[in-house]
Amino acid sequence: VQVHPSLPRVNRVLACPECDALLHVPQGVVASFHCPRCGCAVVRRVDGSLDRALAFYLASALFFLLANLFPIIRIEAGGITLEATLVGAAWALGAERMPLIGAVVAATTILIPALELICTTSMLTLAEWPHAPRVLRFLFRISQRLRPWNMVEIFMLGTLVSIVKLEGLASVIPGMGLWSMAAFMLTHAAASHVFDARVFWNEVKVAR
Amino acid sequence: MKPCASAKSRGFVSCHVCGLLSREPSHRTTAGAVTRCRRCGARLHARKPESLARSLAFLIAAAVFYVPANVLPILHTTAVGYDESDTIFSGIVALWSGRSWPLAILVFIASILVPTLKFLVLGFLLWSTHRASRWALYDRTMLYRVIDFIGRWSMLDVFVVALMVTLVQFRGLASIHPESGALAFALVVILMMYAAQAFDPRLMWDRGT
Repeated sequence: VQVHPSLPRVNRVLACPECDALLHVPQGVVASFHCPRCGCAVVRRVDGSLDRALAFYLASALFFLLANLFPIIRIEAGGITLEATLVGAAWALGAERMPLIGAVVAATTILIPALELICTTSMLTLAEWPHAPRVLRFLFRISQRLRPWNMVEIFMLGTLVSIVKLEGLASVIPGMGLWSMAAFMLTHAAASHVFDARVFWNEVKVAR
Repeated sequence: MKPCASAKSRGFVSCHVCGLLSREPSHRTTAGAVTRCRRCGARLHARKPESLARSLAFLIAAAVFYVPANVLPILHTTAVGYDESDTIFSGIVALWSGRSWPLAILVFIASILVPTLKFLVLGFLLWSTHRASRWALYDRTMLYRVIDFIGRWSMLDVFVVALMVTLVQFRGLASIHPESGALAFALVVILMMYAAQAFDPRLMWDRGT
């Protein structure tokens, strides 16, 4: 257990989310604390500053926008060039009489990530202002619920698999969208790593 | 293993969204009312409601689609002198024989190994929790953590289908179309995610200690 004295105080009594053991976390802010009973990482943080989390979320929002605007891959064979965008992939499935899978792809790679980014960036921006705890609660809950359904990083892996599959068939050119998606993956992972819900609620309490 | 009191046994409820501890409301004062977390406003439950029954229902629903997902083709490829359907497994075989071994292994893990293991592990967790087993609580919690984290990666093949269908549309020369196996597979992954989310690992500790 590492104790970091410079960071704000947190609740000292917590319940482990996985086994419900009542835990006494040492005073000060703990950098990482594992449940002694089941091993779950109850508290985990690098430097939970909200500004850094917001910066990473804003960067990932920008890359997400670019990933949606530019083609992800382009293939060329026999003088014909074809390209795929994120929206195009969902749309193509709908056009092939598979609207349900199209909807799943659109939801997990476009709608849910977009909603999650809107929620996280606006709640981190609003946390500094002394009003609207109700809005913050709502945004926080939505962003937490959506998180497992944001599958951009899995789509990215799927793109790499597709590139290898297509190599024998046509010449494959990775597009701007693919690089943006990779950048989104990194910045989004950094953002959710840096974001600490307890620090967030501490700040909100101060503002109220 | 240290002996620990559970929050529930001491009259506390931890919010499953933000983790804040609240006093469990007494039944007299809040009969029928929905209690919400005073910090983030999420509904408070000491344990996920109807956890085992809901998880089992999602698991059974996933099992229904599991067979068509693996037997039915997910892709249909038409080219000059070539007309074939691919299942998930034959797609992996094609990658393997095309000498893309690391990728074949990756897709095998994501599309076959993970769903199958998740199915077996969650079934085992449900059964052992139902029986109030005390056996290997620590390891069972870890198993739950792993399958809950890893399950979403099975969506890989669905996204590969989406991209192949979008890209390979050379009219008259070569085209790829999705087949119903892909839908069944996507449903398996989604239903399994719901099944894992519905399961409450704290029940293992309630019943096993």
